[in-house]
Amino acid sequence: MEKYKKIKFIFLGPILLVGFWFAVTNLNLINPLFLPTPQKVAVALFSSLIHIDIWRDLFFTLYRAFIALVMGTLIGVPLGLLMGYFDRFYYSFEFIIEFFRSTPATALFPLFLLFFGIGDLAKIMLVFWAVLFIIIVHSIYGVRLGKRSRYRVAKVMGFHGFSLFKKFIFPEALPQILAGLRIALSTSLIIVVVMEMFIGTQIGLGKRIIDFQLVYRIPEMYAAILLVGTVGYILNKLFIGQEKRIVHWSGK
Amino acid sequence: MSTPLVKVDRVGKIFHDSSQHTTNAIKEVTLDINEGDFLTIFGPNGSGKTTLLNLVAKIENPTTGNVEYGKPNLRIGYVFQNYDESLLPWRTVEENINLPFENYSFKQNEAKSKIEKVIKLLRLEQYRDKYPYMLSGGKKQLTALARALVIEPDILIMDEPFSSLDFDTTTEMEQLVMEIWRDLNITVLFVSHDIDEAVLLANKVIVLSHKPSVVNKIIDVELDHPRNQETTVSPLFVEIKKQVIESYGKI
Repeated sequence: MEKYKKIKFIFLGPILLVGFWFAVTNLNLINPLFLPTPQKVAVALFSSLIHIDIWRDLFFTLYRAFIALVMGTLIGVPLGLLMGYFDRFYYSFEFIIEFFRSTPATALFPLFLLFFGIGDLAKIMLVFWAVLFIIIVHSIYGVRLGKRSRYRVAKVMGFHGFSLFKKFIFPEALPQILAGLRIALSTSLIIVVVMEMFIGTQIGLGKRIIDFQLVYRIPEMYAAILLVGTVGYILNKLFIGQEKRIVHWSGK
Repeated sequence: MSTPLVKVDRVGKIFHDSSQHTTNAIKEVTLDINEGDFLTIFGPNGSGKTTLLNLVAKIENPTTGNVEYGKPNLRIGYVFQNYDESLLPWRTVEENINLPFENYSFKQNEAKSKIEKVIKLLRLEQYRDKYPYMLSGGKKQLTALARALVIEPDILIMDEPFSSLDFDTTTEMEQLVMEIWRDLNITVLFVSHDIDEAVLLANKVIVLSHKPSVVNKIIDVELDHPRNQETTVSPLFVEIKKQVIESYGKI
């Protein structure tokens, strides 16, 4: 579709949604305890944005997710590349990877609490655990879905060892790796926010949301949810932009 | 007579896949590739033509027999059938051509001038900073050819390189390959499934049988150069083509 037409339609859905929200709340069709009016939520959002607290919460949520993502990338990508390339390695660990990938990370909450205590470490480690398998699996498929004939090119030219990985296997897998990182990014936010709700911390957007709910400051709760959503959306968009630039050849 | 550049001696190849299934791709092929030869390999689909090239290039090892090189460190330029899968899409044309020099066995310092030479030879100047996906099929395969030629190979191996190009581009590329063969004085081993192409380019056509393949016949092509599309209607060309067809059907 042409660009200007697309832009017209991009706003249509959100406008309809907010319009519907505005209508049902202002006509008192729904208990304001469950869903306050958009005006109230907007006021709550702006008044929370001018306080330092919400920014500190945001910072800590992102910091936990970020550390876990960096660790997951540094460990997951090389492991995935090796597993993707060496069949023996792949078949030896395939079951373990698939098993833990299929186990909801949240099921391991108690275990991680036991091992790492209730501080930041447990949160970061659980997020790390969750994103690690996503990153490994995508890196494996990046290599295995790569064009076999390009590996033949490498062989004809006598590439092997590290330079084979650097010049052929890594770039070949890069589009998949980045797709995995994008999924890992959203997953990390989900898990951090959930962890912050239930495990002893005083700072973090998850903690803020659950606190507002407990004291029935419902407009503030919605404001915090909107903030998490907006941050997730922006991060995802930024990532996709970079992804397109980095793996410009992908899909062409 | 001097020793051949490549001696393929009673080579056979059997593949085992993961389900214990075996495929006998090549039964026994004996072949001398002499310096300055332009050999085309012509045979039915699945007759192990690509396998034979891989054995000559030593990408694969033969199950029986052996492949010997007439000189140490034989340099091989290899042009694959599918340019989309052989060029590195994350590299520009020039970076693709530079690739062979990034291996340990080549010296980087000579690379620059050799790359310039080959880019000029194949008239790729205006495409050097483009990525493969920005190019037409013909230009992509030209890039792959440049990458094979840049190391100044002793032998240029081409695996049905023009099979997905249109008629005009194919004709152009065939002329170019013949020019290169004459001017650079290199040896070419060229697989084709197109009988006109196989006869037009070669000084010898190797006709393979169905799988498991053997060499049915080696046919000398004593046509004068330069050859072009008109050559393909000359009586001698038609006569040679007939010989190829006759030996093609046999097993």
